[in-house]
Amino acid sequence: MGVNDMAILRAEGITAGYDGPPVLDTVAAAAEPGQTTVILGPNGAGKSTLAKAIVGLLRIREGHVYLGDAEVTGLGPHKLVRRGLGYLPQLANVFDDMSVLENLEMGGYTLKGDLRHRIASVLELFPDLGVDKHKKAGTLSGGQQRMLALARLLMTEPVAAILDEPTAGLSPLYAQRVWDQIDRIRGTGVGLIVVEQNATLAMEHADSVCLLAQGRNVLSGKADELRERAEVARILVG
Amino acid sequence: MNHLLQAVGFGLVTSSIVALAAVAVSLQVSVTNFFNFAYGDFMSFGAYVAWTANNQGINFYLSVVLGGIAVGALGVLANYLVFRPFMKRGVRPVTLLIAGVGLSFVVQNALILIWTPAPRRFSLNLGNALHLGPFLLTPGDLIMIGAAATLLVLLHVMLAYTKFGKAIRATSNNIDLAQSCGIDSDRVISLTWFIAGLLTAVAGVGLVLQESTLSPTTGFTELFVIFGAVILGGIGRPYGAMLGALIVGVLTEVSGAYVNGAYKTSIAFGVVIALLLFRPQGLIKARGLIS
Amino acid sequence: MLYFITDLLVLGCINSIMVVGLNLQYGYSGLLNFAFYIYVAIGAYVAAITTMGPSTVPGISYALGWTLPWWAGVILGGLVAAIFGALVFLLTVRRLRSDYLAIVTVAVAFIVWNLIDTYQPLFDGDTGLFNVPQITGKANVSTEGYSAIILALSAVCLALFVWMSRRIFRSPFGRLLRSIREDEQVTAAFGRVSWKPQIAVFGIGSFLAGIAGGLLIFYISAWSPAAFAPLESFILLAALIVGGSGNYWGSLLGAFVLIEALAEIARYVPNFGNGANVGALRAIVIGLVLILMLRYRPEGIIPERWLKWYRTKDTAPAAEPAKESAAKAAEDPAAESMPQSAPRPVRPAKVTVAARAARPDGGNVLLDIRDVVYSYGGARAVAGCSFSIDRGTVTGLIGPNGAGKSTLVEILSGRLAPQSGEVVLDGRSVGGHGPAAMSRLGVARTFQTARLLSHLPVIENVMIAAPKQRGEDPFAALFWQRGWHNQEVALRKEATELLAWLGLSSHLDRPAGSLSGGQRRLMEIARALMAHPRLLLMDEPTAGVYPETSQLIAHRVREIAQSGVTVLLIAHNMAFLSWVADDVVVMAEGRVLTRGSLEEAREHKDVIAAYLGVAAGESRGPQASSVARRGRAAQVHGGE
Repeated sequence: MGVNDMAILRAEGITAGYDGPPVLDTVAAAAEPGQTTVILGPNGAGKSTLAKAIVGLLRIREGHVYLGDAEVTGLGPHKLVRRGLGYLPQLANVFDDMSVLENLEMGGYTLKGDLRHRIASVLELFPDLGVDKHKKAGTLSGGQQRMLALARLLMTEPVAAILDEPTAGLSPLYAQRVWDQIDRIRGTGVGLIVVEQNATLAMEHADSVCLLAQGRNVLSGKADELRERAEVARILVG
Repeated sequence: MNHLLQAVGFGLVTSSIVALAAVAVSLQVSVTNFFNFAYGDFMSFGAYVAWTANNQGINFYLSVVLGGIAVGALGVLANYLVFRPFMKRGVRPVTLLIAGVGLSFVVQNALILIWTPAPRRFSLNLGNALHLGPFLLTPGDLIMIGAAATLLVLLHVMLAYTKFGKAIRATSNNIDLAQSCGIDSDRVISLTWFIAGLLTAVAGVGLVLQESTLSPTTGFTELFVIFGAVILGGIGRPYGAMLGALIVGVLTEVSGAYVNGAYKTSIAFGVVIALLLFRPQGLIKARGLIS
Repeated sequence: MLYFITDLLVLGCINSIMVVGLNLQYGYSGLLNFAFYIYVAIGAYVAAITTMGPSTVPGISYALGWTLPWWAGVILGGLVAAIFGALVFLLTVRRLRSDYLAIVTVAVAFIVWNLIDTYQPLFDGDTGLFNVPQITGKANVSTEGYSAIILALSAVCLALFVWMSRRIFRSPFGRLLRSIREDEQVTAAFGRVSWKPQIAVFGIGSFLAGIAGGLLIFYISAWSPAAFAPLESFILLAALIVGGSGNYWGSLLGAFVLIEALAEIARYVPNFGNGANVGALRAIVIGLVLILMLRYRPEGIIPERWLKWYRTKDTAPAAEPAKESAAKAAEDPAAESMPQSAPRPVRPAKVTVAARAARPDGGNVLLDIRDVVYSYGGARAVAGCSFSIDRGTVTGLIGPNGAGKSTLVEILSGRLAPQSGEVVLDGRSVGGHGPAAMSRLGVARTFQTARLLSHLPVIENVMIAAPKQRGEDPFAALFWQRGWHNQEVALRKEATELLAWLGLSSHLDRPAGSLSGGQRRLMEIARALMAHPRLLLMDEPTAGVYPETSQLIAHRVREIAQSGVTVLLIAHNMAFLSWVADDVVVMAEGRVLTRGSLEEAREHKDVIAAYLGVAAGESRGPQASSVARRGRAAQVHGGE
């Protein structure tokens, strides 16, 4: 897997971890504009760690992250959002004390001027949320909260985004809905890296797949090709 | 009954003062998650600055504003020099409390050095007490209640409707997510200290007007009443703090009407402690601050 | 001049007694008592009103007015303070976070102070008491002579209390306090309830405060509410922290230097401005020193870790042969000292479980889980889980994320109570027992992220887990050392051997925080074994660990099972599981999917489907996605 010139978001040679041996060992992943790359792997493979390393929540020991042409290695989420990289954390991804509308306003915090227009456009993609804009986010269901988190991310019209297990804990119905939204977002030209646990569903929507095991890349390629490969199943079970 | 209502009236005045201070504390706690033990001394400092300005002939209300700015600046400085370095390192909450104790020593005694322990008075004659319905209040009391109400409404407007106010709420709700939205949490925290400082100074002046003298320990002796109101209302919940202040203020004065006045603060404390034992999270559920 | 020095020393000793008492509460146990000086005041007042006799001056009134001898008064003062302290502790215990709790204690102190100040019949209100008779009674003693007498008395008391502090520190009781202070939950996981030792130490600390108060009032012959402004408590706290919290020598240093020396130096500073200034300057210095200390040397000038309560060389085992693989050993610090395999069991004879495992009640089945359900809010984490484990086996618990494995372990360890269903341990239903109770029933665990008492030595971390330590009782710790000393030596030996067996013998005295990730896991195993469990629960014991350490852990776990301990472990690393597990239970979506050998599980179609996830619009069923189908086909046909 060589350097992908067309990629809008690129991570190369990432070695990172906590104490002790590195959790990630020279891992690479990339996403092209308007394409979804899913990161899969068994438990403990380092998927979430990779997401955190890319957005700078974790110190990278070696390696680089590029957004477009610019190097963004180790910048935190608050700097990355201004550069056009969105991040959807796995947990606690809405402001539960604030309303739907206010959540979106916070998503657009770095934007200048009146946000109403932008909010209206975003809500067109998420009609369910627009029903009661003043509802407190904490009272929404898990699936709706996830939708809100996605909507919030879109407020700044990022060119790329990393989503950390966006369907975790959701019913199959909502998981599908979330993926439909992700497809729609992809359709607007955003390059997406999605870390996922549910491999089956993820591979149905992915353009590229990046399979990690024990902190290393073990298999990468186009989703169409890998969908039929038996070893994917074997690697995922561990 | 008349007696009781009068006491309620006095209670409203006390509540106004406590509410301003308690809301300020709650606001600061909501973004930084610890109690600043030097808080009472900040109140005294604000009152002293206002007094000095007023003494020099500056208009009273302008003096209060100057006091507010002074305390705001002190808060930002204290956060930057004392508290933030600890928070960056990630220490136990008890450590921050004790650091606040150290800060309290410094501030309170600096007040003694600068202004001496001699009691001060605001040379302000706002007229005598008037009968307003069942209440017996001086114009000064009314101004205090009015000022508190106005400031709290303004604060509410800021928190609910302005971009910065929402950033404060976002930071207190989920600081990591707020950062992900591009909110600079350090700046938010600094400005929160400043705003809290403004409210504090007004509360300090109000306290002096109510007690009629200002000494270096004026604010400190009020500290636990304020903390009591904050804890009662739910730690980190500014709206809860208003409710807590109302209860504590009215309770103090009402109990003073029936029992030996010297015990009124104790009774208020006693009730607060009892309430906390039954409902440790406060009236409006505090956020994640229970062991 | 002599009088001057004597006076200095008297106050130094009395202040030291106070700081040593506060050290027991805050230094040893982490209980922040902002109202400490109230207990001093109570001691002073009680000592006075029980010895002064009735009031002879009109207008001065106080309760009691007994004429007990002075020493009875002092001791009574201490006891009343202790009882009051215990009551306040019970009132405020464990409802609020520790710093908010500290604030509440001040409110309590304020109420007491208010009462004393206002209610005249008690202690004469705000005027206070004076003309308290000297302890020498009617004898005509000079001022210098009296000071010397009080000095001798105070010094003796101080020596006694320092001795007590030392005793407590070196006893299992002290160890227990430290452990609760550092991590209450871990201490509970090994069977200890916190409030009993805490109330004991709170009471003892308050007792010391009361004694100090009694001595003080007999020295200065007067006391009034003005004398115990809240400031005093904070100065004591500052002295404690600056001197060295947790170390009684530090308490002495703090009292003599911060309180006494500063006060004396202040006398020589020329008085500038008005009279209060020098005092204010002193307070500012104390405040700044406190902040700087907390920031740059929070353990104080004489830190707790300088106190040694045992010497490793007393109990070090004989050196064992170390077979190491040279190349890889360099990577992992743990690898240096660990034997790659244990040729002759170096393991201590104490990995026994003889007493517990021998109970025949449950037959061969140690643990039986029946239809256990647990939901968090709306989400069912465990949805009717049932399986059983035989004695002396190692069972792996595997499954995709969110399967409910960790939740189940929390239930088995007692942290969570099952919302329905039963957990039967050795024939006995144990669902809903808390962690302390489960620990006493023989369940020990390691944690997904290793939880250590980082500031305490490794050996102490391990010793805390041993059950039924007689020295943990405060009275036994202080007065009946004979009753627990031998047990303590035996425990120390056992802990040392366990740690050696796990390759950590060169780390015994080092703070646990200095261990690497793999070493921490090993330490957790030693700690769990110290509790002589019959069931050992392990949550991802090899996460973040080098492969060599992983092998060592697997080896040791097998040996543990051979000695009769039953092991249930959550793991994801298939290699590790293949070394260590007899069989595996596969969980998915809160239920058991299948049970059998690891190989069978990996090829089982439902297991593969569970790991792969569900496709859109499909229910979880035997015919999962195309990926799974291919995977199964490949496995049936022996790979690609």
